[in-house]
Parts: sequence; structure tokens; C-alpha cells
Amino acid sequence: MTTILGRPSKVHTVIEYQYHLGSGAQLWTLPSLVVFRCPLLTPDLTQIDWFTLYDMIRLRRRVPLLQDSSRIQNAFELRRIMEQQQGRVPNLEHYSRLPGYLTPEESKRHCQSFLGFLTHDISRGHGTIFDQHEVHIRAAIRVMAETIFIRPDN
Amino acid sequence: MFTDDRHNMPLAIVAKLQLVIFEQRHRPQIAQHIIFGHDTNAWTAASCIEEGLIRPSAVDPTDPSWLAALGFHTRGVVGVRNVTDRSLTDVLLRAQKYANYGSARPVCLVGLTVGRQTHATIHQGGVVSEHCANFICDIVHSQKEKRWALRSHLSRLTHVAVLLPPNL
Repeated sequence: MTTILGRPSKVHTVIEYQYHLGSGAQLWTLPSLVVFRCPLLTPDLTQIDWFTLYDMIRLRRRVPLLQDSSRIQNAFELRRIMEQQQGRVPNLEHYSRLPGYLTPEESKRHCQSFLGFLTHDISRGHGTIFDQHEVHIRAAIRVMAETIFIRPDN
Repeated sequence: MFTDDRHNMPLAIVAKLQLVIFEQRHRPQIAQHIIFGHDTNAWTAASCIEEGLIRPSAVDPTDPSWLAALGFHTRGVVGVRNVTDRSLTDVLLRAQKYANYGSARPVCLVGLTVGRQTHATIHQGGVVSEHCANFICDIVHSQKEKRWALRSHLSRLTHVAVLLPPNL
């Protein structure tokens, strides 16, 4: 089965094969995993020990999942995030090289008039609620405007 | 601005996104629909909006003990085919329990996903079990963590939101 997902500028095509477990359920998986067989994979999905099965796949798969071109790559592989203090944060160095992305400072600067428009529009449309929670609403509008202006084409 | 009309409280600043291209050849039978709310940081959100999808959970490709994940973790409400004011309120209220504009993940990406079989429920084993179940099941629910693991290529984005803190 083929699924096509994305934006006109970049479309992802994912190919999956049906996995037969004998349960009657329609199960689909990566081409590299469809040949994997293990007694742990029983038709009753509620009885499967997924934790142990994970180890079985890790040890016995024939083709590394990372090499399966049918899957969508994760942000770590694409260097969009990096490790920092045992957590993962956006890799701003990577984004600064991508066309169309602004730096945090540029994003803050460029969004000012949009921020003003949004604040004015929302305060007019939600007068009482806006007045009651102005500090929080203004802060949320700012985050929204800055997020949009990280990549203005969005 | 989106308000929780049941409590007459401001809930989030919400923007509707342009429609994402989503086509399935040999259209399968859909057994389940979910609306999801995925809390993330602003840079990842901008990147996801650009592409119209949320990439799978970050697994270190240089660490052989990890297998490449097919899905991402999120909060969700099951049984929702379309984004309505009611379903959007429900999913934003769930996402609001874990993040808001002042947290490390200030942006919430909202979207719809489909499952070709009913979801698998995980009772133990955490992230590893969820990743593994996601290899053959489209939708995985962790009962303990109250979160969902959804396949990236079946989940299309519809809205972006910035949540306000609960109990203002």
C-alpha cells in the first residue's frame, strides 16, 4: 500500500506491505519487517510481550530498519535536533543554513507588525476575556507570532 | 483565540493550516480515527508545518540498541473524524495538562490520524513497547502514560495552537 503525505513543495511516499498474523486484522508494516517472524507475534495483540519482541527484532532482523527507504526519517537523523543535558533541543545551527528560516532575533524583529495586528484583532473580538487574562493572552500571541515567523512562508 | 465555552475560559491561540496532501493508493478500510495534540518547541513546529507532518520520535541512529521508530508520541481523543470546536476543545484540554506557552514545548500541533485496525493498548514496557507495537499497529495507546503513539505518515496536520496555562 502506498501513502502520499506532505506539502506541494515536499511530498513523502511511504510503501507498506500487509503483515499476516492470522487475526483477520489489517496490519501493515515496512518492507524490511514484513518477513520477520517470531513466535511472540501472536494473533491476539493484547497477549504480545512488546518489550521482548523489540529485542527479538533488534537481534534477528535481516535488514537494518534505518536502511529502509520506506520509512520517514526522524529529526535526529536530519540533524534538526541535538543532545543537550540528556535532552534534545532544536539545532539552531542547522536551521540557520536552511533557506526560508530566520534566526530567533530576526523572527522576533520581523513579527512585530503581525503581533500588533493579532493582539488588536483578538482584543477587539474577545473584549472581556482579553481584559481578564491580558498578560497570558499577550504572551501566547507572541509565541504564536514568533513561531510563524521562524519560517515566514508558513 | 479559542475559548473553552464550557468554562468560559481562554484556552489557546489557534491558527488553521493549509490542507496537507494525503492520498492512499488501494484505499484501506479505516477502523479508527483520532484527533491528536502534539506539544513541541517552536523550531520543530515550524519545520513540521512546512512539511505537513510530524516526523517519528527521535531515536539515535548511532545507538544500535534503538530501532528506528515509525511514529511519534502525542495526546489524543479517539473517535474523531473531523476537527470541530468540540473535538478541538477536548484535545487542547488534554494537551494543556502537559505544556503551555511558558514551557519548553510551547506549541501544540493538532491533526487527524487514521488506523487500519483498532488500537493496541500497552500496559507496560514504556517507550520501547510503544515503538515496537507501532511497527505493526497504526495506533498505540499507553494506558499508564495516557499517551498515543501514531504513525507519522498517517497523521496530517490541521491546526497549530499556543496553549494558555490551565486554571488561570
